Amino acid sequence: MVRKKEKKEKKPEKGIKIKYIPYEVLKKDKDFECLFEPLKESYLIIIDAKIKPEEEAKIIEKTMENINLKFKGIEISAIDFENVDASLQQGIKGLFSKISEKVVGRKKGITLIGPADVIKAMEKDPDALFIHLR
Amino acid sequence: MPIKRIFSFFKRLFRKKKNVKLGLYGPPNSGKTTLANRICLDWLGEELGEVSHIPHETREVKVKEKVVIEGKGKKRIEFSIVDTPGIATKIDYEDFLKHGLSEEEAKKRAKEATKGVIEAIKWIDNVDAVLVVLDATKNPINQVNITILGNLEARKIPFLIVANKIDLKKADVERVKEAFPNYKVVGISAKHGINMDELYEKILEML
Repeated sequence: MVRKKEKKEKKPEKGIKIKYIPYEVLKKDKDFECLFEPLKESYLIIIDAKIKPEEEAKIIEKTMENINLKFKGIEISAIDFENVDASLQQGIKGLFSKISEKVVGRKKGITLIGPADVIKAMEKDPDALFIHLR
Repeated sequence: MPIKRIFSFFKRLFRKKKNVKLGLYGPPNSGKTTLANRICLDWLGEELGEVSHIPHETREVKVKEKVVIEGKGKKRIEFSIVDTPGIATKIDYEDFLKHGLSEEEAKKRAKEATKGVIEAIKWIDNVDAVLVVLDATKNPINQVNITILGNLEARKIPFLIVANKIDLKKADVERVKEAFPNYKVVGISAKHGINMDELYEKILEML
């Protein structure tokens, strides 16, 4: 007699989905719609620049407009690459970065935005980021 | 929008001092309304708003006009105090259930809180100076605080960091000062009126 193998139910894999959004794409999207679709699908978003405080404020405003029973909001954090090393060499590079930032409008660093139902908290050290998952 | 910001800057620069608007900004539950009430009680004899241990008690901007404070050197200034909802990046109605609210009340509060955050952010362009009120018992380095300070700097709005709740054992004003070494920090207890004289002197210097 042959025993039928019991089908084991596949456990959902633990993991996190990451989406990369170029800063240039974000800048063109006045309402930041490019962020909220992936956020509502539980993606962690990485932007290849440290976004400006005014942009952060606008994102918080738009987050509040998008909050509902399923989408509770975001965790957001940024690392500023210019402040990581305060040596003179970096200071000179920092000056050129500041000039290019004024011209191009882009600050060196990264910004991470994650949905609050996936990310419990983002704890910041000056040059490191700890992401606490739920 | 840069043109709007330039206009706001000049509007603040040339506005007569008696029309000064002092905003209270910070994360939820940091004691902004308690501080607003303390200032209004000290100088007007009446409170501004209700306080609660439940976050997002203040869900709309509240303004009290004609607050006059006087310093040791007989310097005096009249201003309007603007109490704003706490700025947050997430609001979950289930958090309010833990504080004993019904589901209907919790959902209503959450919806009002989201509108309050939007209103608080929009009001940044209408204030002349800000007290950034932080809870001195908590880690001051978080993105909400950095966003608030960054927006004030970008708009060239003068501000003072107020490390509140120094009456509590876990309060650590030095941690707040170390987190923001380039800014003025004053430690107070708005609830118990501790160190308010120093705060008033710093407000007079700022305005």
